[in-house]
Parts: sequence; C-alpha cells; structure tokens
Amino acid sequence: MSRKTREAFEGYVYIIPSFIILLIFYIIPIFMSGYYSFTSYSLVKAPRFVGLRNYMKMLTDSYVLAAIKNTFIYTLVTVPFQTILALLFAAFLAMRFRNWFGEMIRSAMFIPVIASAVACGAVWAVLMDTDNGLLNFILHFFGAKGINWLGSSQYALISICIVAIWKNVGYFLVIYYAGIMGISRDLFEAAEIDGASKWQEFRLITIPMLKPVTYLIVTLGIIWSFQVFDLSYVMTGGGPGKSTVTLVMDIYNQAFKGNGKMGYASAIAMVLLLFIVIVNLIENRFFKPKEEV
Amino acid sequence: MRTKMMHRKNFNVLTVIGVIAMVIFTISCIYPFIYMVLLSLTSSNTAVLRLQDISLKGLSNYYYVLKSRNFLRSLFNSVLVSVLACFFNNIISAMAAYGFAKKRFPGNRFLFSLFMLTLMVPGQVTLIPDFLIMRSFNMLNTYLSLYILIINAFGVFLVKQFMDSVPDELLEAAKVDGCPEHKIFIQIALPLLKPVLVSLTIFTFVNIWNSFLWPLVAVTKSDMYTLTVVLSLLKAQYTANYGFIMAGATVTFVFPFILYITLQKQFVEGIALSGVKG
Amino acid sequence: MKKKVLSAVLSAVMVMSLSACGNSASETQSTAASAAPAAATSAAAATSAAAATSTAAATSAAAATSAAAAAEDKIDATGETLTVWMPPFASADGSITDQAFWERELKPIADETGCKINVEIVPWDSYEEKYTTGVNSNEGPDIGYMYMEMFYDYIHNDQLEDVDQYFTDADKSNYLYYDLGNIQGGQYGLPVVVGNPRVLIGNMDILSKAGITAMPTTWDELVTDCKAVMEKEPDVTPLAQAWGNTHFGVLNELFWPYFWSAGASIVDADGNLTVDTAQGLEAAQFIYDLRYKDNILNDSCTSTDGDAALSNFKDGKVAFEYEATGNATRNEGINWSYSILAAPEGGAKTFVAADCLVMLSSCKDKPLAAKAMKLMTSTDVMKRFHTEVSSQMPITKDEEIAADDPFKDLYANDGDKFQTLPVFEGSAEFYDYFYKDLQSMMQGQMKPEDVLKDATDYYNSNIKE
Repeated sequence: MSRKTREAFEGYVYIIPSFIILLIFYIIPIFMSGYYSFTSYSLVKAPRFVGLRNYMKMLTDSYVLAAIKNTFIYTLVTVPFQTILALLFAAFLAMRFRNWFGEMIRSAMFIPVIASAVACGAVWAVLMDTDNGLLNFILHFFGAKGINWLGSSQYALISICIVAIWKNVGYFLVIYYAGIMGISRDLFEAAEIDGASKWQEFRLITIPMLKPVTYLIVTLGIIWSFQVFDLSYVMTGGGPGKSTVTLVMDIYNQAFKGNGKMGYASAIAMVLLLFIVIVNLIENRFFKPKEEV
Repeated sequence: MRTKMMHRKNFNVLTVIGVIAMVIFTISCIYPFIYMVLLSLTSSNTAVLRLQDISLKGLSNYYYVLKSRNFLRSLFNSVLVSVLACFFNNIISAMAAYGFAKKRFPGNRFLFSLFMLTLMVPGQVTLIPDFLIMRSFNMLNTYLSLYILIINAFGVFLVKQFMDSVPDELLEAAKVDGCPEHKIFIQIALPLLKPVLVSLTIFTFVNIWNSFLWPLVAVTKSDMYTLTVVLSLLKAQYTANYGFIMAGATVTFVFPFILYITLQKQFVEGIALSGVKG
Repeated sequence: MKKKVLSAVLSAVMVMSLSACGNSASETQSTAASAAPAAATSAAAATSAAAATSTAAATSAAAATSAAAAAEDKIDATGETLTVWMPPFASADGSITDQAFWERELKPIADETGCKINVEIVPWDSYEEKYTTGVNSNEGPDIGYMYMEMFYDYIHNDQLEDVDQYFTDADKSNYLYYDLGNIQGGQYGLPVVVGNPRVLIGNMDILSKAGITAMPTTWDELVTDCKAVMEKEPDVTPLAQAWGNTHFGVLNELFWPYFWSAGASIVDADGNLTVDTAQGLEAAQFIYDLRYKDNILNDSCTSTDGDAALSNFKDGKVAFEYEATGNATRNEGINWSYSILAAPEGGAKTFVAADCLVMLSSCKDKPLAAKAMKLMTSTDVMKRFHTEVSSQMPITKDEEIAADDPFKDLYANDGDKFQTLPVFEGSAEFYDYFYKDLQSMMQGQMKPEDVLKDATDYYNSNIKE
C-alpha cells in the first residue's frame, strides 16, 4: 500500500463512525421526512402517496395556522429582547465591572441556561400562578391588578416568551462578553483620548465590532425560537385554546396521538425546515458580515 | 469643562440605572431556584411560600418523588445516558475531526461540507423518521436510543476547529519515529485536544441532561424515563401539589447545578468557545 | 494494546446499553413456547374459530368454553413477563400508591404461574401518546386500561383482542356491566371503572349562609343560587370550573353533563358528528352566559386546573362544582351534598365513565392475561380498590355498595341519568380540538355558535378520513 492510499484509508476509518451515525439519523431521515410528507401514513398503515394533499390540508388547518402564527410571534418577541438585553448587560459589565462583581453577575445569569426548560417551566408556572403566584403578589404589592399569566390566551404566549428570554439572556451574555473582550483595547483608549463618552464608545466601537457576534446570536436565536416546544408543553400544554401551540408541538401531537398521522406531521416538519432554510438564506445574503478573518 | 461635568453626571445616573437593572435581573435569575428549593420543603398545597410551612417534614416530598414516582431510577438513567453520551460524543467527534483535519483522502472537503450541512437541520425535523428507524431496529426504550442522537456534526466541527491549530509537524515527527497510527491519535492528538474536549463534554452533558422531546417520544417504559420526562409527567399529574413538583424540579436541576458550580470556568468558556449550539 | 482495550470497552458499553433494558419481548417469546402448551393451543384454536366469522360466537361455544376453562387452569408461565398499564387513581396523600396496589394484588398470579408482573402507571396527561407510541412500536402492555375515546383506532387496527372466549357464563353474569365492553361488534373491553358519575357538589355550609337549603336541580336554580352566593359570600367562588386543564378529559365535568341534559348527542348512529345542533348550542350558550352574562364564572376559571379546583373546594373556598363521585368522597370536613342538573327542557343527564381493561393482540400469553384480568376485576380486589384507592360503583354483583357510601342512592336509583361517551372515529382528536375551541370561547374569543361550527368543520375536513 502506498503512503497515500494508506493515509486515505486511515482517514476513512476515522470518520466512518460519525459518518454512519449522521447518515442514519440525520441525512436519510431528511429524505424520509420529505417523502412521508407526500403520503398518508399512520403508524399502522403503510405510506400511501397522496401528492400535495397534506400541504393543501395545512392551509385550512386552523391548528397549524395558529401554530405558525404563535411561533412567529414568539420569535419576534424573544429574539430582539434577549439580544438587546444580553448586549447591554455585556457591554455594561465589560466597561464598568471587570471585577468580582461582574463575574458574580455573569455566573448568576448563567444559571437559568444550565437548568432544563422543563424544570424552569415547572418553577415559573408556580411563580405565574394567577391566584397565589409570586408575580401577582408583587403586582398586588404595588397596587396593580394581577395578571392571568398562563390562563388567558391574551397573556399565555407572552408569559412563555418572558421565561424564554429569562432563560436565554445568560447564554448570549457570555458570548457577547467574550466578543467584547476580543476587541482591541487600543480602540477604546484612542476614543477616550478623543474625548468620546462611554455611550459613544458603545455606539461607535462596541456595536460595529460585535457585528459578527450579533449575526451569530440572532441566527441562533431565531432557529431556537422556531424549535420551541419544552416550555409551552410544560407550562400550558398549548392552551388555553390554541394560544400557545407551536409548530414543534403540532408535529408531536399529530405524530404521536391517536393513530399517529406520520405523513401529515412530516409535512409540518418540512414547513419548519423550510422556514429555517429561508432564515439562513436571508441572513447569509443580506446580513452576514464580510469575512474579516 | 462644564460639558465634561455634565457628561460625568449623566454617566453616573446611567451607571446607577444599569446597576439596578442588572441586579434586579440577576436576582430574578437566582430567586426562582431558591423559591423552588424552599417550596419543595413545604407540605402545603399552595404556591404561596410561607416561611412557617418550611420544615423537615417537607423532605417527605423528596422521599415520595424519589421512591414512588420513579425519580431515583430516572436519576440513574439520566446520569448513565449523560455519561455515555459524553464518552461517545468525545471519542467519535475527536476521531472524525482528526480524520478531517490531518488526513488527506478523496472527498475530504465534500464530506466535511455535508457534515456541516446537517447542522442546519434541527432534530425536530428528523424526529419522526428517527422514531420510525429506531422502531424498526427495536431500539426504542434503550439507552443507546437516548444518547446516540447527541452525536452530531457539531462536535466534529468544534474539535476540528481546534485540531486545525495543532501543527502537523508534531504528528509527523511521531510518525517518523515509527509510532503506529492509532498511538499517534491516542497518545499525541487526544491529550492535545483536552481543552476542547472538556468544553465538548460540558456542552454535551447540558444538552443531553436537559433534552426532553426525544426521550418523551423514544421511551414508553417508565423504567427508562429520564428526569425531564418524569418531571413533566409529575407536573401534569399533580398540578396542585407544588411540594412534589418542586421536589422533582430540584432533583432535576441539582446535578447540572453542582457541576456548574464546581466547573464554572470551563462551563462558561465551553459555551463561549463553542458559540453554536447543536 | 491500548486500542484493544478501548475497542473492548466500546463494544462492551454498546452491547450493555443495547440490552440494558432487557429485550423482554424476545425473551417472552422464546420462553412462551415451552410454557403450558395445552392451554396455549386450546386458546389458539378458540381464537381462530372466533375470528373466522362474526357469527362464530355461537358455533364455537365449545371451543370458547374450553378457552375459558383453560384460563382457569393452572398456567406455568415461568420466565414470562406480564405487563400491565394502569392509570393513576390514588390521591397523592393516600395510603397506597396505584403501583403498589396493583403489584400487591397481582402477586398471587406471579406466585402461582411463576411469571413476572410489570405494572406501569401511565399518567393521564400523556395517556394517549404513551399508548400510541407503545402499542405501535411493540413496547405496549399485555393488559391495558382504556376509556371510550380510545377504542375506535385500536379496534380498527386489530390491536385489541376480543376477550369474550375467556369468560364463562358464570363469570359474565357476575359482572354488572359486562356488556358495556361490547364495542364495535366485539367484546374488546372488560369494564372495570364504571361510574364515577359526575355530579354537582355543593358546600352546604356556604349555601346555608346564602339562604339556600337544598341543592339546585335545574340550570336556572343553579344560576339563582350562584347569584345568591355571590351576594352573601363575596369571597367564595360560586361555581368552580377548571378550564385551565390541558387535557380534554375535563369536558366530562365541564360540558357533557350540560350538553346531554339539553338533549344533544355527540354522534348519530352512523358516526356523523351532531354537536352543532340547537340543543348543543343551548348547552354551549349556557356555559358562555355563566361567564359573560351572569358573571358567575370569573377570570380565574380559565387558569384553574382540575386539581386546584378540587383542593379549593376541599378548603371551603367554593360553593358549587362538578366532581367525579370518586373525588367527592375525599372532601372530608366539608358538609357537602350533590345533585344532577336538568336543562330547562331536557332531562337530568350526566357523564359516567365506562373504562375497560383491554387485552392487546400483541400479548404473548393470552390465557395468562385473561386470568390476570379476571383477578383484577374480582370482587375481592375491586372491594379493596374501592376502599383503598378510589371509591367507585361496584362492578360485580357480589360486591355491595358500602352502607356509608354517600352515593348509595344515586347508584341505586339514578342509573337512567348516566351516559357514556360514544365510540367513533378520531374521537380523541375531536375532543381535543373541541375542548381548545371551548377554551377560546371562555376567553371571549369565540362565540358558542362558532365553536360548534368550527369544531364540526374541522372534524369533517381534517379528522375523519
């Protein structure tokens, strides 16, 4: 065996385990999903090709439409808030508190990140209890009227967004903080000599320099948001009404309840994939920062 | 001069507001967990935390949850699955990353792009086929089914980033010395990768420990439930018995929390370094 | 050397994790072959005879009795595992958990036949999903517990066993509700929790403070009484409804009693949905008015879930609520009474459960399963179930209603007021959707007539094949 073939052989040996796993559980399934989405397929009956029927059905399925709407609202609320909060906190900590205090704050804010969404949901459901919850207790304390956090279709989705933001800020904060630490100090020193205020520094140096990080955080935030399931499953189960049903919850419900409508659920999954691909394309096309590295 | 003064003053007000906002947010990050632990120690059926309700009697919540509600078994499952997931993800990702970074073979770049492409597909999209595949292999309700999905291209990507910075000469030198291939990987490459593998481990652990949708689907036997699943079931069943639910939530939370406290720096570094989540 | 160790560890862990949960299905299969060949073959003969034609029931009587007899015989099932899935009934502060109860009661079978009993308690909230995924991936139980909403799919997928052949006439005649398990043309269920009728419970202490001495018996009286309570006892919730529940099962308390007493029915004889009728609207409108016209139901009804409603009543904070009788008997320390409401132009009707034990077709040792089902529904076990776990109506003739059972009269006299849910295609899905629409109605986002129409449209276009 020549050296070259030997090296190639070794290369294949190293990648083969992960390749097999990816092939079986990621690559083939995408095609399976695509195929099933054009079939009528329950867990007990073999797939039967039905063309576009699943997709047509979706257009009039108020469940799916509600799920799409909720998922978008969720995304539009959580992504800006968590991004801006994380950026502000990170910048503020980096400017003023590069000490034990800042470190403590960062550590504390990271705790929700490591806790499971299920546990967080369980705890927040208690805090948001309408009659006895802590949040309404605080509102009452300040003389405000209590809010029916999880029990009204008006607030339920927003309540879940609040918990999601609360859970995610710490994660993005850490990434932003690392990004700010990576900015050359010379830039800030030069600005200070020029008499720039801290706010100007933030606006004119920090934000532009963090563009790649922001791009990453926003993309991640959107993609996570599209996948939201745990929180609304645990906190509201999709209710009241259809007010907190999400796309992934709809996939789950269609596929694993009753007879298991695998075909229809796959069609919803393909719509989810389509949304994610579109977001990726748009961001790549218009927002991706020029390669500087 | 005057303007400068103004600036300072403005700035101080801003600082104060910032500190207050941050402290409030920080408290809101910690307090729910304190509340959780305290409420788990009460035997009351109300969400209101009254200090006089807290007593050692509340420990019976833990006894009930761990014993009667199968949390003990689920705890074992979660730990085992997490350990297996971390082990295999590290080994398999490191192998692939080494292959991609240090070996020339036809299709290297193509395969790597293919790997990266799969990162775009979220697990929810492949949920149904994965379930069907596992079902046809009789793999549902096994530990394997619970951890294998965590092994994805992300780990490969992460380790390869690091591997690229390892100079080839180091490995070449060993080769010239007649060191066999597998020894180069195990004895030279792996130790060099230690920092990134620590990050990957933490990352894998947090993800697998907290994963919910997949175990919910893949497990039908209560002996195989992981903590997140058994907690969601507990919450669904005893909506009004907050003591139980909070005890369950505490059990679910405490493991990653202890790990986080002890390995704080690696946690934060790991997350910042990885930057992307699978 | 190191590589060898590594690969050994790797393969060892792989193998361990694959087999860790014990592939009990194949285990059972291999050992079942050697177990009790006589019983197995006679049962198999009976099965095939019964399955041949639907009229075979009469002609294969001989075979059927032999199967029934076989179920009585001693069965050697050493090494087999009998998996039983039951829902939770015991209250959290009860003396025994459901798991412990069934393990204890099934122990005699294990001792006698040498099989291993595996009891799993499946929580209500994920009940149908667990059955769907479990049964359809060959990880399901041998004996399960189903409510009416679940039957249609499993019967039509041939996943349930007609158990008639395993029961002798003597067995059958001792069951009070055996026929309720005759569904879609076969004995697919063995009724086990029958009853638990939903009744309106009132806290008489609160009511007497509001000048009310007797429980209301009509919708109008309920409204009048609630208004009286609101006036005299402003801190009390006049009528509790748990619209905050996530599962449609609460419709049994919240909606169907009103719906049926108005004279409406869910489906007609051909399985067509008939909720969108004048009578159906009357019921929906009544609930809607309770909230938006009479203001009897306040905001918190949309966030209260079933457990919270129960414990609020127990704490004396609620005047009226519909409860299952099994829950009502737990209201210790409350002076309560009950009634069943009648609609203005309808009769008094309420929901009653007819939940059944079922035998899955995938069950390997059907005589053994039948034996266990018989034991579980035997008078002694049921007696203990009713005293230790959940107070219910007796299901066998031998069991007497306890003399101190507060619902003695109800069980004895009001049988004609009880109604079970129909079995029809996609029922669970429909109820889920319908419940969500009703929730929206309670949020003021939909009008009663829209709910009925939307749910009917959805059923016809998206659920029914």
